[in-house]
Amino acid sequence: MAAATRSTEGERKGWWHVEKLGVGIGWRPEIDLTVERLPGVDFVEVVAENLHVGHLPESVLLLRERGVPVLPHAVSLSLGGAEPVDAHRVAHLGALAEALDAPLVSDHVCFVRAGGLDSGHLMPLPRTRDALDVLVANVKAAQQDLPVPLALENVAALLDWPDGELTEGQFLAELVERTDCHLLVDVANLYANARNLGTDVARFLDEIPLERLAYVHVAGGEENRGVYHDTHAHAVLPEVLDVLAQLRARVDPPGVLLERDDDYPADAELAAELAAIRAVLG
Amino acid sequence: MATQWTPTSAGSAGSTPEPGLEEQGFLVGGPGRAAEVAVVSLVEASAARISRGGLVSAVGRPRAGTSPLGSAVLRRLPMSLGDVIIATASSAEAQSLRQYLVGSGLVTPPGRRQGMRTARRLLIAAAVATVVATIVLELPFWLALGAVPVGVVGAIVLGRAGRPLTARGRDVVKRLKPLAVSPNRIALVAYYGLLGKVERHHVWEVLGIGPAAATTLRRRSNRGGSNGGASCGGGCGSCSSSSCGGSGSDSGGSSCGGSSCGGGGCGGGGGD
Repeated sequence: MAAATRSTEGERKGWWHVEKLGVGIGWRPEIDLTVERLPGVDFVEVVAENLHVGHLPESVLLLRERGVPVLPHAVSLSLGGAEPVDAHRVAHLGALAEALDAPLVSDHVCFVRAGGLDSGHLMPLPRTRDALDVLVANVKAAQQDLPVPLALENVAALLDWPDGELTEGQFLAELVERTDCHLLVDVANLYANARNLGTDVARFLDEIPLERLAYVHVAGGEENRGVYHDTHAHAVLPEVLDVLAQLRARVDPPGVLLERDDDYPADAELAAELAAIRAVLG
Repeated sequence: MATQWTPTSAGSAGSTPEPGLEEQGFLVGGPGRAAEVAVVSLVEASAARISRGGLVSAVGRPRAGTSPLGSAVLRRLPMSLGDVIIATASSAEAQSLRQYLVGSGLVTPPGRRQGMRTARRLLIAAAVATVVATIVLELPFWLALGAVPVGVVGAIVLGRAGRPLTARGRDVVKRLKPLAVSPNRIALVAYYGLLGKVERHHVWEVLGIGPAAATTLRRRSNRGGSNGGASCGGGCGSCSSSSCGGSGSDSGGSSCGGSSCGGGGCGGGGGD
């Protein structure tokens, strides 16, 4: 599969432009048949850590046979951590990308491990220049060992570290500028941060380099005791689709993917959520 | 948690209602078959889904109107198809269903079955002992001549009396076969079991369940052990295996708890 093509602007900057992906859904073992049967699924995403290159799920192979792009999405590289990137995890992600003929891979702007402990969560980074330097170094190290472009996703946070020097948009923009990575914008995470931390959605979207957008995540969540939780186990809120609409007003995203990780609804409900996403994209 | 069995079919006042599908499954193939019916009923009602790899998971939130056995299934999800059938077959709800069917006069009480089996063994032993004694002690030959037919006839009578189903229960099973046809998907499961065959196709194939999911099922022995002994009207039902069909949600891949089902451990109709 042609992973990416150079655009005129991108060629000048040495950047690669992601081809159109369309509308997709996260492939999960529980809903493998549902994903196969849903109409109009243009691409899927798999959680890289859940797959083994040697024995890929039959459903994933079937989707590849149909020509559906399958994008590995990692959750454990811990690129924002102070420790060096785990070469084995990067190698696994790269091998998976090659096995699936994936156009790109992705992970998050976060850390998950420190001091030998694994948090089990995507922890936000302090938005300082020191933290950015660490992130940039780790991203560059990972990119060297990856056979395809890397996209990085904004996370949902329940706290902002003190003494931040950059807004989240500025932080991501500088990350892209220094590493040539792509962006995976999760509009549900952005909405969660707007609700919980007061992130300015419009400013975020204005500050990030949307020409480097690989694709977009959409997911559901719920409010609990005044805090919005990006659960991936509830329906997508209209407010999240509004954030997608704000993004769409600025750029035609190469792809938009619905994430659902628990309490899977009926096929018809997932189809309706995909239809709602398509309606926003126009 | 309500485990008291509630009949799944309506009946006229004052009469025993016609058995519902889970009850039918129990009569034909025991608690394992009833559990299969419960799982397939949930899938048919879009309350659960079976993945290509055999992982059964709930669809949305549990809803009202689910049978006790269906609730027992939902409580255990997500779980592989084979394992959820085994687990549900040994649930309190399955025991409650058995008690309900015993109370309805369709299933032989376990104590009575055990008593009949013991009496049969004693009778056969006595007949053999009589024959041996006749030969060894040179007793009158008519003793052996009488012991053999008494032993044979008695064993047959006691064996029939110790069957899992009562005469009424067997009559119900006989009436089920014409209803177990392809359009009636759950009735197919109740009568033949997921591993049973209809027109040279496995029932799981007819239902659209994938081969990988079917590998989590294991055929149960027709001859029950201490818990077994189904009437097995249309080929004995399936139990399950401990294998897990390609689920895996952790980096290390999936692992499913082992289970055991050999020797009729998953029971058959009317077993105890």
